Amino acid sequence: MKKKSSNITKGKQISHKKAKMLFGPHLDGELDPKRKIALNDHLAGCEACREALKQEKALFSGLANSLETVEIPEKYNLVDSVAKEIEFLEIKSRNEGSVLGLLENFFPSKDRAKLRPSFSASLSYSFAIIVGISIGLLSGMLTPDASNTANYIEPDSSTATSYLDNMIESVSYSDEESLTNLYFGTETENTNE
Amino acid sequence: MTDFEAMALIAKGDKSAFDVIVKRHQNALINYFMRYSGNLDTAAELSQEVFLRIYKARDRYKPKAKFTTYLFRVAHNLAINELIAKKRPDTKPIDNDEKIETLTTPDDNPETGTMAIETSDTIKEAMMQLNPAERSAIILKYTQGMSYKEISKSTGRSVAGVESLLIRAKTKLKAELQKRGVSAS
Repeated sequence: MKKKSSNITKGKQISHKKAKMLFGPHLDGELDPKRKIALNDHLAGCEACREALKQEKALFSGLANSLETVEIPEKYNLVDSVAKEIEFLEIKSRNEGSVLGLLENFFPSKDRAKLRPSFSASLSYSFAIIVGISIGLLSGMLTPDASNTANYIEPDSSTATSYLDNMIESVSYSDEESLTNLYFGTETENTNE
Repeated sequence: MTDFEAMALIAKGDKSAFDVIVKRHQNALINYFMRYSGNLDTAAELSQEVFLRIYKARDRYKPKAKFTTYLFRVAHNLAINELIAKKRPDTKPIDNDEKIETLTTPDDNPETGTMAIETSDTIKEAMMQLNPAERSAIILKYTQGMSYKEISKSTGRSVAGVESLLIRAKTKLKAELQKRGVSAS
């Protein structure tokens, strides 16, 4: 790559534009000796550029002061939160593929920071769910099984149909008298009374 | 314990050594992101993410350059990617109780030739007009005090590229500050 410094030939005055381009690196202390000499040569004979450099220096010194690193409030101390997050990551990697791992998938990494304060609560919820499932399974095991319910016979439709058919059949085989007897009793019975 | 020693311990499974890294660099990192995003909560969140990325990559870490160069390379990449994801800079103002005193010189100082810039909001607004790469370079230079070579390693640009970027960024920043009534004349 062609170096910028090679554009500046010793003994040849640089333009105002080129001189101003060097102000930034000069103020940042990043000019190589060759370009430094070229700038100084130009500044020696150019009052306008000397004044411009002075202004630039004032502006960027002020900016540098304003952008200096400042002390961050204690509430933004990251030591504990990073340690908790690392713990969370390690639990996650241990639980990969397990039920807890699946539960963790419900909480994307972007929401982790928000969840962090209630991490113990999340664990409690997971525990409660597991206990709930266990109780459910245990109560299922205590339910009477098929051998204890053998006396109960499910009535099927064919049994019901044949019972009705028998009723209808018995009625159709009866004569008129039999029907009368059925509902009002026999003449004989009446007579006897 | 140096950063390199701490990282070597972390790679061996000593988690407590990572506390040393976090404690030592959190202030610089939060400052970087605060200047970058203009928001302290966002800055803390992004800083935490940087530490986690470094922790996850603990086995792959090679002490080739200064640890801070590596730290800010991760931070720079996150800052650029975060902005792409959000499509715009986070310009939510800092709450009054969270506002940090950034000005050290309330008056012009004729002896040092330093000019006071009245409010941090003015700088913040002007900074937000820079593109992400320009803003990051300005912060690495002025907040972290990095050399062009260090910025080059943290941003993955050539030294000449960093110089051009900073010239462009400063020209833009100067114009933005002048628009807001801040000038050196």
